Amino acid sequence: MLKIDIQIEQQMHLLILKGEIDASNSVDLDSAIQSIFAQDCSVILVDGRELDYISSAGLGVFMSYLDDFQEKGIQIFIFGLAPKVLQVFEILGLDKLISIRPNKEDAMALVG
Amino acid sequence: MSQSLKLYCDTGQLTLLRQFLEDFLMTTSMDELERHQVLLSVEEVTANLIIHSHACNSSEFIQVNANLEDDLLKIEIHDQGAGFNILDYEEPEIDQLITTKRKGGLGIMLVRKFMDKIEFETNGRKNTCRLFKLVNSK
Amino acid sequence: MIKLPKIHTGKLSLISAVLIWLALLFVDITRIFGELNQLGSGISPEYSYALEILFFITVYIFYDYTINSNKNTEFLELIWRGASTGLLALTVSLIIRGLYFLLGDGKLAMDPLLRNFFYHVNFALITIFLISTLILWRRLILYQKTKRIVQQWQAFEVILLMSMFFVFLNNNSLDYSFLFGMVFMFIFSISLSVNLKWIPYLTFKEKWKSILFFLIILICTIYLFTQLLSYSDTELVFVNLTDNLFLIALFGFIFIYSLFSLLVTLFNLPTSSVFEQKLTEAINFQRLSQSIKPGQSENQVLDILIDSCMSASYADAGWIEVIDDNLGLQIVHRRNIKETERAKIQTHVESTSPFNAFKWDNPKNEFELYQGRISQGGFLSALMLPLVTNNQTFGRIFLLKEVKEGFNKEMLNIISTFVGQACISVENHRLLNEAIQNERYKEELQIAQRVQRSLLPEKLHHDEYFEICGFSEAADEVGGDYYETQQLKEHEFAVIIGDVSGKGTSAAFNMSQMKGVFQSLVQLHPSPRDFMIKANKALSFCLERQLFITTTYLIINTLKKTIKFSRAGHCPTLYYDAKLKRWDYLSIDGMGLGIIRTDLYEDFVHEKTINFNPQDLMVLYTDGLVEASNEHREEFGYERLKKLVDKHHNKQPEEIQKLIIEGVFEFIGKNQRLDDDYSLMVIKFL
Repeated sequence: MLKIDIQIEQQMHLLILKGEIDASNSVDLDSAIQSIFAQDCSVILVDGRELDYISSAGLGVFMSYLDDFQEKGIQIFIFGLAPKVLQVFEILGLDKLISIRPNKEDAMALVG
Repeated sequence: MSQSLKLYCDTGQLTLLRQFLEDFLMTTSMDELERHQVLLSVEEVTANLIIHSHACNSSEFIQVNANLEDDLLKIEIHDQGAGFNILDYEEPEIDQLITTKRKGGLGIMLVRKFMDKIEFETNGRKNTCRLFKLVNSK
Repeated sequence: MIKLPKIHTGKLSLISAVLIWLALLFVDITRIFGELNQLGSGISPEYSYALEILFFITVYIFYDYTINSNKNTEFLELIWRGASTGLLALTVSLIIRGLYFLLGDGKLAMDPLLRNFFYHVNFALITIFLISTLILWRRLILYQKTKRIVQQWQAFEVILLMSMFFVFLNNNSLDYSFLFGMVFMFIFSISLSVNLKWIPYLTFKEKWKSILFFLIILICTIYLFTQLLSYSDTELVFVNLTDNLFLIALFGFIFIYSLFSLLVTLFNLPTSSVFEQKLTEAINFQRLSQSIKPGQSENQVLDILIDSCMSASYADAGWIEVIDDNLGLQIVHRRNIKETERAKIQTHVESTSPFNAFKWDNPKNEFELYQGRISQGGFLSALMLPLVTNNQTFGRIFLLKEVKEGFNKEMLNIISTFVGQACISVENHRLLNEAIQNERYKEELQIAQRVQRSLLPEKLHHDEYFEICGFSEAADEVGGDYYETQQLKEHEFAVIIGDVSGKGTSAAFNMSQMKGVFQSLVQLHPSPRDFMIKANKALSFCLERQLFITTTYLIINTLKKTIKFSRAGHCPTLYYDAKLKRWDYLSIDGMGLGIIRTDLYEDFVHEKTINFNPQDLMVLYTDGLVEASNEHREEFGYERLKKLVDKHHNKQPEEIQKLIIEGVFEFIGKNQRLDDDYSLMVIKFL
């Protein structure tokens, strides 16, 4: 079960992911990002506090937009990942490509 | 200890798989991180099979066996068909994946990194992928 | 230096003898002339004696030389020479006597000078006869000489020489010393005359001839002796040359030896045929033993055998029957009997006791001998002996006689000996042939060994991600084990190990076929499973029906860090997983190549891919290694191999390989040898 919620806070898009992302629902994540893309946006904060699971299908979605984010000067941060989910990002080296922070405050501090 | 699960080739069944594995792994001495590693690896292999080997044809099925013997966890994933040998793919570099936008490579990377040993066996019709992980008894 | 002319002993002694005789004649005639004319004797008889002795010696030298110069003279010829010389002396003596008879009482007949001349002629001839015969007899006496006889003869010659000088002591008067000397020498002669070993070697006919010659010699001796005695009675001769102890002793010796020879030859006549028979047997025996020379066939040996046995037993008919590997029972030699009759008699013999007790497969046939009564085709007794080599009866010899109880103990003995010898010859002949064959095989095997060594790789392909070493040892000169590597791509390597069923030359031959299959298929870069399917198909065409090959084929990819392999009935590879710290035998399903020769085979080949990590270790081997057994028939086995490698898995591949081989040999014990080929490959990942 995956629940995606998008909120706008101080010109930042907050992408709240709840539940599990796998091959069956990674398209939902993709369309969510797509919709953010369609709006004028400079910062995306991904709230992963309630993300229980993300498989390569979900990770792939993020990966596929990395180039586009860079091109359009969009900053992306992820925060609040549980250790078990964090290790997945780490083992793949995704933490080098996307800034990952323990909480919302730390992530906000990076926004410049 | 051994348990098995039959899955129809539908990505919707992956939740079922995760539930099955979570239940099984809870009985072991693995910690949360390790359990997650196994869960993710098995799911990656299975998802690959469902999507690439069976084109999400839900009339076909996959059999998953989980087994723990001493300190060795063994997960077997059986299917019939063309087979998908994840060992046939080189472990990709992450930068490569971004530029080529290849999605499949990440899963293989995860399996290789999280599991201690991977085996793939085929006789041309039946295929078995075996994933091994050493359970550190604490 | 003065070059001495080559002295011709024969001619020189002859001329000296003639000259001395003439001198003797001259001295005596001068003396008689002086006496007759009352001139007073100016010449003492000692001169004559001295010349006489010189004459004896020169004649001796002459005959010693002429008779001994021809060593190979037959006995009969020797005797004939004695007899002919005797006849000559006799004839001359008779002519002289006849001459005087014709002259009657005429003046010439009374002339002392003429008488003296004839006396000297007679003296010379008697001397020649006696001395030449002495030397002839010496040859006979010294035939098959022993040291004792030679010494005895030499003593006799010394005594004879001494007796020549006796004349100076007694002036040829018949006194006691003369008689004593004479008797002594007669006794000596008798003791010498028992040496008659030459007689048995004369054939029956020769014996009759020699009897005749001895008779002539005896007559001559007697006549000449009486003649000599008559001279000593006459008053006409002034110096008596013939009443000499030397001459008298010679007469005695010649007479005694001739008489003995005559009598012994006469008594030997009836047994002569037996001796001849024994001699023939001995020669036959020799021929049988010599017939093992290479080049002579068994048939020739058997040919000599049947002839020898026939003549040894006076058999009337006989034949030899042998087992030929291709033709079965064959009659190889048949004597004095027609085939139809032979067949009839053999049937009869085989149904008669004791011959019906014969069995071809009796292991004790070598010492068996069958003889008994028969009555068929005029034959009344039969003898049958099995021919055995190496405990196997390869034939039989049959001998038939037309009389009852025709084979006596002596015949059986000699025939058994002949058969034994012939069998040894045949066996030797066969062994020799075998040895020659073996030598040829050995040479061929050496070539095969060289060829096969060249089939095994000297260098094994690898890169910086793994180390590899291999070893193979054949139980025979050549073996059926095979291993090899091939680089497929920059980071991809093919490794194969295989074992052809059976061992030795045929296995080695099929192994080279396997190599060919590997080398050609590897070019196509097939997956291990495809490799097995294609190899199975290829080998189905060229491998003999009952043969198969077990093999393991691996592809190592050092980039993907994977090993992909298939197993065709081969021993499962021993694998050490350093990460899991586990030993495992990589057992997957797979049937040996050549067992199923249809497309069904595909169902039986599995393929497995595994990932490897540094420090992983892989041991590939053939069944000769795990099935090596010790004296308790216990196999080395998989568990022992695993434990052994576990102890050493940190070491280098070469070292591990060496320790495995040592471990296996330690297990089977020093006195055992491996009865199958075994091979070993150790791969360690880095």
